[in-house]
Amino acid sequence: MSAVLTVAEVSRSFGGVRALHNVSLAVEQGAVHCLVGENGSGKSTLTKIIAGVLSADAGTVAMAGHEPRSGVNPGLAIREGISVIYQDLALFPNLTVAENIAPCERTASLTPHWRWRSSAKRAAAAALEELGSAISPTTVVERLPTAERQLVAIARAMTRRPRMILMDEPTAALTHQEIDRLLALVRRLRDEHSMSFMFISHKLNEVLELADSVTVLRNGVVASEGPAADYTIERLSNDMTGRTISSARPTKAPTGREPRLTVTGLCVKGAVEDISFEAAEGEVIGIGGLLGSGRTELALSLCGLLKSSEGSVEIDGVALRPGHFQDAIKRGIAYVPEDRLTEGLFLDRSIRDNAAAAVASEHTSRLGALNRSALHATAEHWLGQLHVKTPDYNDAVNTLSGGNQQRVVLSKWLARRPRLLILNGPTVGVDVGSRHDIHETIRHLAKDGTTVIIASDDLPELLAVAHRVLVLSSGQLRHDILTGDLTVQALWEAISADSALS
Amino acid sequence: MKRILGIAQDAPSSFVLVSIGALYVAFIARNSAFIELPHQFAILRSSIVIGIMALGLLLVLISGGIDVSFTAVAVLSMYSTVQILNGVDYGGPIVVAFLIAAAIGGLLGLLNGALISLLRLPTLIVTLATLTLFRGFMLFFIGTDRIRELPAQMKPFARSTIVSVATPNGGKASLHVGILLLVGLALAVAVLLRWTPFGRAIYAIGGNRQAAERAGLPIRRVELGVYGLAGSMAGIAGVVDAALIRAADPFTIVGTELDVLAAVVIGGAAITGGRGGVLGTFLGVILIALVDSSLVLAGIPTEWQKLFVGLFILAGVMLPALRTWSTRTDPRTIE
Repeated sequence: MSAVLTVAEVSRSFGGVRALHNVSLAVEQGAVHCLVGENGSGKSTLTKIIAGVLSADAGTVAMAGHEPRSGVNPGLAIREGISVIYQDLALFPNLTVAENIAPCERTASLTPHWRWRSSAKRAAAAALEELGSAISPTTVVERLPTAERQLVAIARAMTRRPRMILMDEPTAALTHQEIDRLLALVRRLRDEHSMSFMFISHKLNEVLELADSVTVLRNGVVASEGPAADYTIERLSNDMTGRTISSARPTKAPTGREPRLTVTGLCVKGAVEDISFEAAEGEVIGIGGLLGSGRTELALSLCGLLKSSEGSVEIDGVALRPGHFQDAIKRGIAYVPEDRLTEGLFLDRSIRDNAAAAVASEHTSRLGALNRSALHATAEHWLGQLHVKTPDYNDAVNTLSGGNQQRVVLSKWLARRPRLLILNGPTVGVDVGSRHDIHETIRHLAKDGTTVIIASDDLPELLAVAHRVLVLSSGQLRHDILTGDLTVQALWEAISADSALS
Repeated sequence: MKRILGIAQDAPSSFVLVSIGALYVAFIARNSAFIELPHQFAILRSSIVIGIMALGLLLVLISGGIDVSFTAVAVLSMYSTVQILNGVDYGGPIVVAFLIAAAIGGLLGLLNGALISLLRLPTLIVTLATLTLFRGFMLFFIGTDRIRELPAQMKPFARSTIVSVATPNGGKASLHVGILLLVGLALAVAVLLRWTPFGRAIYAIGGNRQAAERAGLPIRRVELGVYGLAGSMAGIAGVVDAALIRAADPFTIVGTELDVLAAVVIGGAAITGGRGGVLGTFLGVILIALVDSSLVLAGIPTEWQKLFVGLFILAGVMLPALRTWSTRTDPRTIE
């Protein structure tokens, strides 16, 4: 086998911060090469250099049969046979599927071409058919669900007859079934078309399932590399983080404590039916279920972000006003959303301001003046507790990596010392190291008496932190399982079995 | 035929059509003279200059930018053209006047485009600055006098009509030939936007600029083209305006920026880019011309004009939003 892409000793710094140092790797013809690393390890920087949208300070990128290059030239990279599918897919939402797929080169050259539209439509239909998809080429892309948009992006990549497709976290926004379909497609293209892939993912089991070879990045240098057969999940995470990450279990469930949260007959129209359960002080309860099972709706209705139609939610014996988030906050509930970027953070503001956002009113004098130093002290205390890594708390939040951003969101709510903490997918898009720290924080909070509810489709996560898991299906509570000796396999069966029936 | 209908689907034109219809009913109810040809022709005539400028602005809005300098471009191009032609005592066909004005306007537009694209400055700020700059340059260096002596061939153009109909009371109702120019340019822009790679590139850049960059689209060239074309359109509009008022007035057109912007926005172009079409813009222009020229006839004081235009803009931008809200499920319930 011969290498399609050779990255040779690439280095790149941003304003004195070293993002990549002497990184080399090779992608073989007809193979899937996985690139893994923590948030901020340099994966995105390397991707951009390979795609030609960022220049390298030193070192080169070379496609087989072409001159090594190190400068900015996305068009050249495409012509050499590299297609990049970015995490945000880089589609044009206002244009049709056909226009997104077909005419990139033609649009790029701006050459007028008679019957350009119908030829675009034909090319798009052919590309989609090759992928086994029935999306209509005349649909406007913004009307498609995420999984289908991804197919459009892949079809677009395919029409350029690339030799290598680089996919940046393609599975982050997909459901289990959609991921299976995507992985099958990648395998088919690899085997039938001898296509090469470079695949970036945080989901380590996915990496091991798909990859032929692996490169692990840590702090901008290659931590290890080799054939995928040499790796296990433990080795991957150890190489990524440089420390040993053990699969921890929750601390012992508290016994004989008063119930903190009592949910009775809770209903949300069209989403959740007649759910009752109790959670004690210091207890961690997981909510599991497939997409559409009502798990997010249940979490949202507990904190009043979604209005329940029937039933009650009581904190320490006092009922909450349904659909009233402010009341829930006053009663000591904190909610950390799944999509930290749109719901949880003020991206342009400083890390400190973000962490302080939820406690500003506590540090306000009767005249309405803010006690800044006390406010900042509180914020910094919690940022320190959660090990938010940054040279300066005055930096804007969007300068942080994903894992650190998630910690800022957590700090913000922990600063309120909540009695009930509700987390929705707390480690989505977060690397193993941060994930480990976040889990550790949850366990500490529970030990100190906070009740935690955690909705997640990440089963190892539920087993790592929760004392009990409530399994939802079609909006109903099907199981209430103690996690004691539960395996991922058994939990997955409990979650998927019921959905097959319904 | 299906393709022509396709253009109609581009824009949320139904609101504008309904508004125009409602205004017609209301105006006719108040004053039956409204429906007579002289007034109808007057509405069309007053939409020519706004319409041509609106087409240029449409391109800019679709590309994700905004331009407020086009009125200054129009006047500067028109006034310079008249001065040049008068200077050489030109007596040839008027098309030369259009070409010169389009060239001057195009250059000024390219200047906008260069500042925006090469220096990556925000479009509103750049064009606010050039609006004042072009205006100041003209008044200081070129002149402030109203020129009544237009080049020879502009006078016949001012009098040219497509049709002339005798009215019952002995007058004459004429449809000005400039409307053909507007329709011709509108068709050209429609073809450009819909059937050329350049046009689709404008939509692509307005829809997702980063994606366009990554796909290797020549963003700078497209932007220069867009602002250049917008400048040329403004130049042509300036000459038409001079011919219609039969004088080169340095103080004409300026101040209509927002009317033109309103027409394009009511016509369905998104201020955020990526959306808009010629048919919608055309209807938006007619609506603005209708409000501008008919409120008086309907016995409504002119002071109310701005209020009406404001209400239409508000309604025009609210309706699509309302439609999205009603069809969208609660975002928080979507996993």
